[in-house]
Amino acid sequence: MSDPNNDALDAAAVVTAESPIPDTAVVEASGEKARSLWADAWVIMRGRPLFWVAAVLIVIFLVMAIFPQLFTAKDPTLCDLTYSRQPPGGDAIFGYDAQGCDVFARTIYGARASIIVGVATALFTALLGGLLGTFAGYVGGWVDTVLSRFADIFFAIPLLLGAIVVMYSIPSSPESPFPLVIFKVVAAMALFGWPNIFRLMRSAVLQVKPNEYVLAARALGANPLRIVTSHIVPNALTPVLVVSTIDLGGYIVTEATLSFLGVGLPDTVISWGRAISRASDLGLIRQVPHMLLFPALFLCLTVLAFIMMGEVVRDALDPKLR
Amino acid sequence: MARYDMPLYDENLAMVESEGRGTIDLEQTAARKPKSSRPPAKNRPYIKGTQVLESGHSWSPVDGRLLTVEDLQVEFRMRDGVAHAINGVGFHLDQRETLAILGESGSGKSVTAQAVMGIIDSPPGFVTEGTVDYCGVDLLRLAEKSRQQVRGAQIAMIFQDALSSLNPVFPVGWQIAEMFRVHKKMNKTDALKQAVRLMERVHIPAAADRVASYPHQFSGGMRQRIMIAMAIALDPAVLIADEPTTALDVTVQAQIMDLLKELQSDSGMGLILITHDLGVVADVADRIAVMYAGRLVETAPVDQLYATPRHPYTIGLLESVPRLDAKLGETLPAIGGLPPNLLAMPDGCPFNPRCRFARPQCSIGDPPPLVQIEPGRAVACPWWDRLEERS
Amino acid sequence: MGKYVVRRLLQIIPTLIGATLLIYYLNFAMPGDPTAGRCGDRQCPPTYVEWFNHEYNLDKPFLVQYVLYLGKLLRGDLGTDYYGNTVVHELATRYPTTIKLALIAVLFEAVIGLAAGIWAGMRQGKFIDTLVTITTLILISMPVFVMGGLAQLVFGIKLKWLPVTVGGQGSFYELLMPGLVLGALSLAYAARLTRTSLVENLRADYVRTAKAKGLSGFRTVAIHTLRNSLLPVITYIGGSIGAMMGGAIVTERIFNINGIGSFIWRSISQRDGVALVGSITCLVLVYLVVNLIVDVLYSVLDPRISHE
Repeated sequence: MSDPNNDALDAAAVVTAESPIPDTAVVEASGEKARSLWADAWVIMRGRPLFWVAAVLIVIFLVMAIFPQLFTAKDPTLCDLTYSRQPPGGDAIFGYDAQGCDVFARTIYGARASIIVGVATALFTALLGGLLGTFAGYVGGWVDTVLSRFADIFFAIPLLLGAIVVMYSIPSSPESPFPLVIFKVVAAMALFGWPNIFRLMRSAVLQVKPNEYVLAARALGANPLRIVTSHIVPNALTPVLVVSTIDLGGYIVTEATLSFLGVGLPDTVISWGRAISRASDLGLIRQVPHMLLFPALFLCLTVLAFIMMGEVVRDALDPKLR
Repeated sequence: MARYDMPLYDENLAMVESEGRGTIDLEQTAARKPKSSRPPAKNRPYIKGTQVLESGHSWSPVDGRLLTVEDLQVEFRMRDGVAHAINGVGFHLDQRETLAILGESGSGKSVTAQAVMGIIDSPPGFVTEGTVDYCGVDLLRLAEKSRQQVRGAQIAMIFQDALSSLNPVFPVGWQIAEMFRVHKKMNKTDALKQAVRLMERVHIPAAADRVASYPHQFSGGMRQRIMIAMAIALDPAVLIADEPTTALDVTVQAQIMDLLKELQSDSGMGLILITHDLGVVADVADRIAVMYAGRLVETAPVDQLYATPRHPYTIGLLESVPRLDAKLGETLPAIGGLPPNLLAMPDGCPFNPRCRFARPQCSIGDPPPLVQIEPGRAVACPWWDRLEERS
Repeated sequence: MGKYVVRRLLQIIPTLIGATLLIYYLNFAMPGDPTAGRCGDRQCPPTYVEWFNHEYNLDKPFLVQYVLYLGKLLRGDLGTDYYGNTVVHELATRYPTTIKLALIAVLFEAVIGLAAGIWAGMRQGKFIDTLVTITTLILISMPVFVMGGLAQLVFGIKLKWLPVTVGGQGSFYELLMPGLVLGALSLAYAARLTRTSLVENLRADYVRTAKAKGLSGFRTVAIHTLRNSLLPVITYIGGSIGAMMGGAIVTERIFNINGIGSFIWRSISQRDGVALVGSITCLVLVYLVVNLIVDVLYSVLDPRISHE
């Protein structure tokens, strides 16, 4: 499992990126107009093939999630047992699964569930963790202590284990509507994913807070909300953005794992996790590996695209790696 | 390859102290403007040492001369272009002598010291030209293995921030003793005894008790003493001190400088003191070399430099030192502007955009060479004897 | 040093209480019937529900329930599973297999991960660096169950190098492939972290000092840089044991290993809440204790922490 908790380590690299450049390589930007951090990063990213691979993959999978019809004319729910387990060939380029459904069509339509779950969970954790983290970091004192201890508790439970317990406790019935089913998975993962962003945002705020311009704004009597929104958040946002993108990949993996274990998305939702789960009985792997390979390939490529994107952005924003 | 003499300065050409800069090839001049024509940095030549010394090589100074650096050039090849950190620096150092290299941060003084030590990170840093002659051997041409025998043992160095320069996870005694264990193949116990002796030598109280302590358990001044103990462990002939007191309190600064002077008078080592602080230099140094944008702009004996600074940059530096005899309420003059971007150096004299004596000719052509104006003094300004303030 | 350990021990207590409370709450205080599934597909008879509620104190206020549960936990009572066996007994019989599996995984992770990371870090920007970066990226993007399936297909079925599944207690040889699969993800992270940390430390001031002392390149890296660089990696490897607890559920299911992971998987599919909560609580405790040990170890290796 790509455990998003691990990314806290990566994130540290971004947060501490403002270290001074050593004397040996001093290049004062005096003469030139100072390019902004992001403009600078864009110039670097543009030149990296990995960025373009990731960007193209992400666009393809996003389009696939929104308009699956563009990629296949077949109906993924139209299954015919007479075709059961037929290998790739003819008009079914990925073959058929055990129920005789077209694997290609089901793989294409499976993108939607994975992408929605990944994106929604990343947004949810970023929002929840970001808000609480900013609050804790800015207010400080006992509020910070209480919130931090609270976050520690959720942080102490590995994401997958926690999500299993939640999903187990509130099982989905086959009649549950699609949005509710998705929401449950998102909520279960966000519940254990937010401390990651919380810690990141909190330390970013703590780092920005003592800066002179923030102190000046305070001294001039700017209202706290304005200080937070216009001075602190923009500076602390970069690491959160990077880590959220990398985590997004991790959430897609965790959802697929939950579905694989039978506590995630139910069979009524077309998803890669369920498809892989049903294809990974040993007998099936032996006889019809195509049932496993194609959804697995798509799943891996999606996760790869998001993690790669996050890393390329992080590297481009990190002056130390230049 | 087109070569041409520098018409602007040819009246002084005969007296160029630092050799090799009399002519300049156009290619190198072009390389200074990376935006217009970026050179294929990877393919540019640089100096690779190959010469191997026999293991028992004995080092003895020729006529008291320890170190002669000539036409040193160092560049950093980076994503945004090639930064020319050092552009033809030359100086020498005798036994018992203290040479101060003075300059702002980014002037290349630290890089010069690291090039002499041979500890520039490569890539991105490359020594492309020059010689570093120590007791008759050009260190730049030495193979790495041979150079390691010189480093620390013959030429030692101490750094500005002793806390980050000492390894945080080893006791200080261990770190000092390492010098003996590596260079002298001494056993652990003997080496530790030597470490205690050195800690006492640099006046660390209760040295025997503190030998097993870690760097973070010492105060800033004590840490710098440990750095010094480590550097003088093998009685080096040359000690390079890179801003040794910048990170310290004023009182501690004086103690450290006194210690360095004391050690020097005992052992007769040559000291290269790198600093941006004119106050530190005045008491200690014999000669001063002022650096700006990777070049020496003025070299002079210390009292002459203070009495009659010749280069506009030196004049500016001296004016910006607070004086006790200044009138109350008088503002301290400062040099306006910023040091130049090493990736895009201005044409002509690199100091001209900030120089209040600048003439139109100063912003054309190549940088003025360092020229000897009297025995022991050199200036890199062709107008040094005719400075007229710009109105 | 001793003070530091005591402080860390005290710090972990609220987290332990919070984590067990959270898991307990999620399972027993959520709306829904905790006895659902305890009696097969049928609804449980009212007498059984009553007995169950009493046995697990579900008829008392929530906090009292939890305190009683915590008391049982401290006495090593995690309740009984669907078959009437105590959960503790079930875990006790299975843990040697899971430990063996995790050991293989951690060894694999530490040895290969560190070696690859060091190699890449030393050759920054060179071919091997790119190779390690891309390989680890692919490993990170690959869920354990995909990797497990592929490993079975390639090494088990096609190449016939290693057994495809594991029977009984699981011999070292049988557990080799599952162990590699389980460790692969953490290996990738460990390799990357090692690389980053090494590259960063190689630029540190004290490495410059080491060079200025005239030390050989080997000594500069091996003695002066590696120890500092490996500190965060050790913390990571310790923490990765937690991620492996989750991964073991999947790995043990795929390879049919009779360990704690497959017990959890069985509890899920049989909707056996008592067994599930008991075993997950147990894993979380192990995870926290391992992290504590790693923290203490870290403080031994890094004098800056323990001397605070």
